[in-house]
Amino acid sequence: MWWLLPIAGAGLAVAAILNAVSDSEREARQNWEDLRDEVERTVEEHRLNIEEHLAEIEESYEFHVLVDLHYSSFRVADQAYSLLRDAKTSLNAIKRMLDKSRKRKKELKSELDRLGKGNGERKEVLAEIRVINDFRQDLFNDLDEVRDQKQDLADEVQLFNERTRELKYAIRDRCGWRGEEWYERLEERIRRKRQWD
Amino acid sequence: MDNSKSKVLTKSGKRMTTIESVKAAPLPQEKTWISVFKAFNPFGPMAESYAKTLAYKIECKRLEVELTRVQEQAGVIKTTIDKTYALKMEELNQRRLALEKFYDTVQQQLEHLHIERMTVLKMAERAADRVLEQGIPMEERQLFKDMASELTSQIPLFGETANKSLKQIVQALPPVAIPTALLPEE
Repeated sequence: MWWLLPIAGAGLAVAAILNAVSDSEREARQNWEDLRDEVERTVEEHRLNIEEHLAEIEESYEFHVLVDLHYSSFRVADQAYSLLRDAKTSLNAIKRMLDKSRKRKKELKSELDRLGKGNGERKEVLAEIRVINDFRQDLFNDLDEVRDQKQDLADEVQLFNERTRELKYAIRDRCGWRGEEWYERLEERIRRKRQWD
Repeated sequence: MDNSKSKVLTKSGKRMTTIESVKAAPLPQEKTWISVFKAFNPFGPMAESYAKTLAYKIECKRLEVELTRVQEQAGVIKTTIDKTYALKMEELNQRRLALEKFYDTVQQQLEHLHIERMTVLKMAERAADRVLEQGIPMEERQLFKDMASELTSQIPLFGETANKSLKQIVQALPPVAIPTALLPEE
């Protein structure tokens, strides 16, 4: 039976080697699995970071684009409003001239009635009325043109005011915290300006 | 591991840029009868185990390289995004400066026009007052009437010029187009 001893020893040695090799394989497998998980995690983390970074930057860019548009729109609306004010002033001046000439014409007509027919002064009064009528006709022509211009400007002002307002709300609603802060600051400035006025 | 590409999507859902995903090597597979046969050979499992260990180690090395690649690729993507942003912001700045100058110029023109218009308006009103004044000779009245008519006829012309200037700044306005994405679609 002694010859069994080397066989058993060899068997044990093989089993020990096999066990050691298996341990090494398990460890290698574990390392590979850990590393694989880490790579997966890293890819996912980077992907999320890039998505967040891109979203943040796009929001910031959009904010600046919209603020610029708002400013331009505001400048145009402001300019259109100044022109509208000028058109109103012009219109009022022409109306004043028409009003004064109407009163003077009425006075002259009364004078004409008072003078009666055959009076030498009538000719002069009639000539003055003719001059005033001509002048009034010229004024009416100008009045129509200025009135049309005023209406066009009023439409323009309304259009740009609406556009500016829409942009203001777009900035507030689409540009995250930047847009909300910008909107608050703008509203605060408007409130303060109203108090001053 | 997921074989598809890891896409970086914008808010609008367009693909901007990608981090290529890491492909894992498939696990060694074998048929059952080979395993049974190998079970009777003591060196068979040893060799196989050794080969697997080696394969895992090689795969680990590959994954380490992939990890570095992913990190560097992410860095490159971030730099690209930042540089594109800086470029776009600079464009925006330049456009803003150009527009600002243009608006100031047009505004100055319109201010001059406003002063001129108000002066003409006052002159017209004064001439109109003289037309309606009592006791002035007819020739003088006619002269003032012509003058007042001429002056008031200038007022709509001022309006036309001002409207042209306004149209100019309206045309210079950038179109209301909100960008859908910072980077162009791939």
